[in-house]
Amino acid sequence: MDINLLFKIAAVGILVAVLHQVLVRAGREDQAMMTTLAGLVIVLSMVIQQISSLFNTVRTLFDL
Amino acid sequence: MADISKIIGIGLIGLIIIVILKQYKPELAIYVSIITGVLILVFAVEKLTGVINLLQSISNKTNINNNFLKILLKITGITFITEFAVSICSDAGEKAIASKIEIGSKVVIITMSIPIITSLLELVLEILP
Amino acid sequence: MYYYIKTILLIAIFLMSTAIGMLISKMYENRVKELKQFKNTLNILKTKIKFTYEPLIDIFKQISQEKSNKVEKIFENMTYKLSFGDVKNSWRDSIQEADISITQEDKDVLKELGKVLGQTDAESQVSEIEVTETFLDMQIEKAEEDRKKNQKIYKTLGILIGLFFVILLV
Repeated sequence: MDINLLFKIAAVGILVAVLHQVLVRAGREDQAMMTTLAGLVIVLSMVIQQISSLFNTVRTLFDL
Repeated sequence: MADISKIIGIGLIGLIIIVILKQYKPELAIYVSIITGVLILVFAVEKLTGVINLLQSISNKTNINNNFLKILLKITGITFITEFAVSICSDAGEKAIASKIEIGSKVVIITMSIPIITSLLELVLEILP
Repeated sequence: MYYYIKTILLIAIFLMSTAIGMLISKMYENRVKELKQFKNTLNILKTKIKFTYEPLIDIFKQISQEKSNKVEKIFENMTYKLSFGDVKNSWRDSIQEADISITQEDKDVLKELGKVLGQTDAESQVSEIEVTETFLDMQIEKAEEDRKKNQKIYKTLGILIGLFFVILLV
């Protein structure tokens, strides 16, 4: 749980954008789409962990 | 002071990243905004522990029914999480879903506060001749 | 200590991914180069068949003498195989076995030549070699196109995927 996660997501986003550009420039739209999807899934899995940790903290604190 | 500067720092860094990322991959920018929100909220929630402990100790000293305080705290927690979800939804441009989450949370809060309402009504009935 | 090991491993992952990208992009370059070498060698073969009428085994031996590139090594292998087999099979097998960047399509084009080589008179062999050369020209053009399209991509892709893994594992 720290600020590094933000930078990580930003870096993944920029990398995926560059990959997408390169692949589209080469005329491989389907693979470009796949990379975008893969990046999305990876980032989503990171984000979901954090959200669940937030919910757990709130639940224990306010004993919901 | 250190805490507030930390929160502001996280918020500003998240903002800059979102602004950069929005040009290239708008769908990932939403994740960054979620994570920024989560980080700040977790920070704030951890600070809240002291306040809640204080409230509980005060209610133990006085003769107030302890269940009421528990319900109040639960309602606070629900609004906390709901606010988080609603702001994410409206950030992503889904105002309709945001308002639906709000309605749901309001219903849940009302059902939870039924005991308080009934006890209040009973009190009023007792006082009235 | 743990931190150092992690850093070294991350750098290793990045370098390996970059190297894989480089290797793949190099393959496209090598394919063009090797096809051109093959064409040169076929030219030599054609001239020798036309003017010297030496047996094929001697011609192959002369071609493979320098051993400076992979194509000549194929001819060396062919000479060796030819000493106890027929032309058709040794030509086909040594091209198929060759450790070389050209694709199966190129190999098939080249293998066709083995059916005629050493079986008919010089005239028709030369014309067959010429036919193979025109096919090779087409393949070279195709390979050049592929190289232009893919070489840079694979280089970039290797570096980017390496970076991707490093960021994920940091």
